Amino acid sequence: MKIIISNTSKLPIYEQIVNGIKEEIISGNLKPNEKLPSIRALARDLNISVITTKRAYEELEREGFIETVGGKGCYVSYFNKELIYEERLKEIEKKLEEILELSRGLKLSKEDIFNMINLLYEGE
Amino acid sequence: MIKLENLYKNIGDFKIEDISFELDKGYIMALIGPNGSGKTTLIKMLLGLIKADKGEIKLFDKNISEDEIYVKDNIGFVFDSLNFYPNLRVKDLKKIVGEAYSRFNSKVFDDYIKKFNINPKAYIGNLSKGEAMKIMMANALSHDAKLLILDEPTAGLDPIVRKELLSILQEEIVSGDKSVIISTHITSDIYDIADYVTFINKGKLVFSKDMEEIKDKYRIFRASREEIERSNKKFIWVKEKKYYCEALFIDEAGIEDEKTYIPSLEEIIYYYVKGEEQ
Repeated sequence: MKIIISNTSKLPIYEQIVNGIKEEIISGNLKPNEKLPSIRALARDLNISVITTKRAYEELEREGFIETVGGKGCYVSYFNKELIYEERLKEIEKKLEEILELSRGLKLSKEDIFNMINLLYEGE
Repeated sequence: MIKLENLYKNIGDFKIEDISFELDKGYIMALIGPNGSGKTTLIKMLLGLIKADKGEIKLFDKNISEDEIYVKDNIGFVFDSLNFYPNLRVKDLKKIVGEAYSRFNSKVFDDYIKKFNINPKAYIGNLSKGEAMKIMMANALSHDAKLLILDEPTAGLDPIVRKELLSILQEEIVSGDKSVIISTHITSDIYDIADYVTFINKGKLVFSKDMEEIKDKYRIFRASREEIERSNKKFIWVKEKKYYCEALFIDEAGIEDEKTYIPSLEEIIYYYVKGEEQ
């Protein structure tokens, strides 16, 4: 598992952990039913407080990404692949809307936008 | 696990007034405040070295004045300097302090001394400040204490030793059955690792909160004097600068804009102390 915490990021540390663990689940580095490090061990290894790590795990649990099995620890949920997929789709839609908004300001046509996307797509 | 209730103490001109807070096992609490705010007095009260005039201290569900031996057996402490016979050696210190604790583990002490690269035959008087702190740490960690109390342990130490000390504290609470209370001036040291912060000023409690709440809610607002006057925020203190004003407030609504930013603990202390002076 890989989690990088940035001290210069505007995001609070707990959110950075939430995002980091989500990334690991999406990339497949963390698989469904896989055990996560304990809250206390992760806090130590990231040099952050227990309470911050706890908050991150609670948030991940609330969003359905992980589950706590009483007395045993935290595990990656089974159904989260779809969940993440949908979440990401929503994010893309939101970004596209922003693009459209910006484009309208410049009075770009649909073709102009498609051309730009095509160029970028092929450029990769 | 640790509970202080309405603590009062008069010491000459100085007073501890109505201090209460709690700490569960498995967490780190930082005790902060300016010089002379009462941090060390409070720590001495926790250690049973100063008795309260009024109020109660409960450690491990026991009253410190009723079960003194049990309570002290379960505390490991580190002060800002090692006050011990300078012409004794480290190994002699181990023998003497080891006698005082029912669960003292000589091997644990030796392992720490080795890890810290300290010669057991070294004289106490010849130790550097960092080494002296490490000896106190080794002592505090060798008798299976449930509570570690550290009074300004990082003062005057280089960043490497400070980091080492802090990661040892984090290691100690991994099991979840130990707690740490650490007083410090270098608040940046504990900003990331403290679970709770208890802030005292002039012998009174300013607040005792969890660090997430502090990071979430305390904000500094930087704007023109007019904007500050117009806003209906409740400011803890407003600092007048030549071209703008800056003020600390508790942001319940979660406003995020370019005019507010998250203060360091040092800034929080500064604004409260200044606010109190006026």
